[in-house]
Amino acid sequence: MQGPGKAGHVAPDQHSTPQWGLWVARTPRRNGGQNQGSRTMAEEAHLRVLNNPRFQELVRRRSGFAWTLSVIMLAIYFGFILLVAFAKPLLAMKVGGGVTSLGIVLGLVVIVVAFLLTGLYVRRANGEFDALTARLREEVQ
Amino acid sequence: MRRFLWVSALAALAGTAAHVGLAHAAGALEGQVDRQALNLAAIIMFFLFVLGTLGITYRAAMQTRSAADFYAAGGGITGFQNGLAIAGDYMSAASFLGISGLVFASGFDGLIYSIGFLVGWPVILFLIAERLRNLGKFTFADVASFRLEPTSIRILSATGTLVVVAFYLIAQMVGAGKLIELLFGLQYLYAVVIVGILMIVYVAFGGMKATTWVQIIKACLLLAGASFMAFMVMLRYGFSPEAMFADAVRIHPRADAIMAPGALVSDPVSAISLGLALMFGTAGLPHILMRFFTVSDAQAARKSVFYATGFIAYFYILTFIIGFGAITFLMTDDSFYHAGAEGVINRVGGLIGGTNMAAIHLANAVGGSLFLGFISAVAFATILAVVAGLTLAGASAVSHDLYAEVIARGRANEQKEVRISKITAVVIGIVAIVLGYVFENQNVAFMVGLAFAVAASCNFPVLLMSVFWKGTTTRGSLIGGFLGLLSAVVMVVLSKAVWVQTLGFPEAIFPYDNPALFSMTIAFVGIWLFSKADSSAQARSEQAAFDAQYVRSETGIGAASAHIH
Repeated sequence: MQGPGKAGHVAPDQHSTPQWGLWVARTPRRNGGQNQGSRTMAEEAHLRVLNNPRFQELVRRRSGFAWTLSVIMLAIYFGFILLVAFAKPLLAMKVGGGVTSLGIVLGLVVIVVAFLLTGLYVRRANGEFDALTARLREEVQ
Repeated sequence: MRRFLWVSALAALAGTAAHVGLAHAAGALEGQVDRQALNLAAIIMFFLFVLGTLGITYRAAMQTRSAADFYAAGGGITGFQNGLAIAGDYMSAASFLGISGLVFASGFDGLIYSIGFLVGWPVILFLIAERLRNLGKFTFADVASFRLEPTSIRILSATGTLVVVAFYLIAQMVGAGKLIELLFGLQYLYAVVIVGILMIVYVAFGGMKATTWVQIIKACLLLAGASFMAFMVMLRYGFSPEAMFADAVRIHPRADAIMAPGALVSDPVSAISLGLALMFGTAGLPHILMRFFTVSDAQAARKSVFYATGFIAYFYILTFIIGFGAITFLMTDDSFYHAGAEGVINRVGGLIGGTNMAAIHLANAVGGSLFLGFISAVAFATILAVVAGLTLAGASAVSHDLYAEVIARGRANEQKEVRISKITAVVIGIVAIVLGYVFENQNVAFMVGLAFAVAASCNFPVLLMSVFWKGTTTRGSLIGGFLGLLSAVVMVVLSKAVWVQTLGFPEAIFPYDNPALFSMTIAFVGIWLFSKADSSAQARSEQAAFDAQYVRSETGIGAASAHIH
């Protein structure tokens, strides 16, 4: 994950002559003036979308949300795996005075949280983000 | 078409019927010790499943005309149905029997696998599902070749797909043969042939529509059966998990150790490597990725992951309860065990049929022989459904990626492409039967792990980098992807599971159980490095084409025309 995650935040590729590096998790900003010369219709169409503030808003909000949730999920999961690898006695600790161990409780929590996170994302994406996309579509088409 | 369906149904029936007679005649004299007595209830219920699904296949075949019908069920599957089908693809017999068996043998350790298999799903949803839906048509190669050079990218992704499908399929076929031999009292070869014929029929005639419905029906049956078992276990303990755990600790030979991490994860590197393979392998499994094209839009694609995650999470909680239930119900009952030397019973390894049979024996313990028959039939159906999904993914890679793009150079017509796909499905089925037969007595447990490792180290990096990193070029993806694929396979071959346990060398050359940590790194670094170093004109135009891809992957604008089915 580190690979692409990092690539998402670091910046632009040096060898390609243009332009605006990576869009993920950043506000896309057109630093005008490239792509001079003849443009095809299709190019015009996607440039219109790229320059639309609503598009930039959509991407900023959604990417931020999606990467945040991904990082949370990764942290929880690999946190759990690292506890399994390094802190076995901690996970063996009893909770609630019976035989149930902390490890079992945490494991079930990870399962439930994974499901809740997907619910959280779908709710916002199917509501807020799709509404933004729909308005963007109307504007550019 | 109708005649073909009948012929294959009859062949399957005849195969079983012949053997039913044989087994009756031969009785207790033949076969291994572990083979179960012929279970008539199981066979009847399995026939009902086969008849029902063949009926569905027939209807699907009547409605399947275009390529979109064949590969993507015409985009007419709802989010909820697709969620069930994804869960069906994922809840294989291996995860049902394997994980409950692992919990039975070592308690907590079973959870580590369940969690690893589950947590890939949220990440697929957040980062991949929607973009895949917006950019692709039928296979994930459509996405990776959106702006990269299609011929080489499709060769790469078809190779990745076929390697994953092959390993997964061998593991499933061998598992199927063994399981059916055990459950139904059927001979190994018969079992493998029946599975092979049925999967050919589902895929070649019914395409994605039939495969999806087989998957949905099986998912419902499996969830219902597992729910009943978990319910009966919890009923005994007044729905108190603590009471169940306490009883299990009292009974299990490892006592309190079953409540804590044990020997499964020995060193941190293996732990993280396994975690990576489980998590990101899911995001690179071709038969799973294909499922996102069966729904009508991105919204439905998201919903299907939400439902799938819910079903899978619920299922893994059930297998955990079932594993503990098996400890408390079976370990106190000698009739489920082989007695060892001098009548001493090994309460874990001595289970008849091995620990993987824990769930099956529990079905008998909580529901009697009729319910045992039901669970056995469901286990068979589960294998069938999973191999059908794999076959379809493999056939699509050959027809849609290799044939249409590489061989016909994009000039193939739809009818011909679909025909190639059907022929490929038949070939894959036959090859699977042969491989299933050849590998009968080999240790194939490592193959599912290998399939996940390859998916995580070839398919996933290529997909992710092409969508997210503007700098990705064809050359970079090609070199990085193949390096990931190759390193994953080589490291698995040099690891203990193959080098020592299968090939018989004294010591493993690669010290860890799972290669993903290394092979994924090689793939990502490879793609990055060779893209950076690529200063060709082609690379520049591919990078310039990123914006159009970016707009479409984020919004779906421009995608509509590609999806009119």
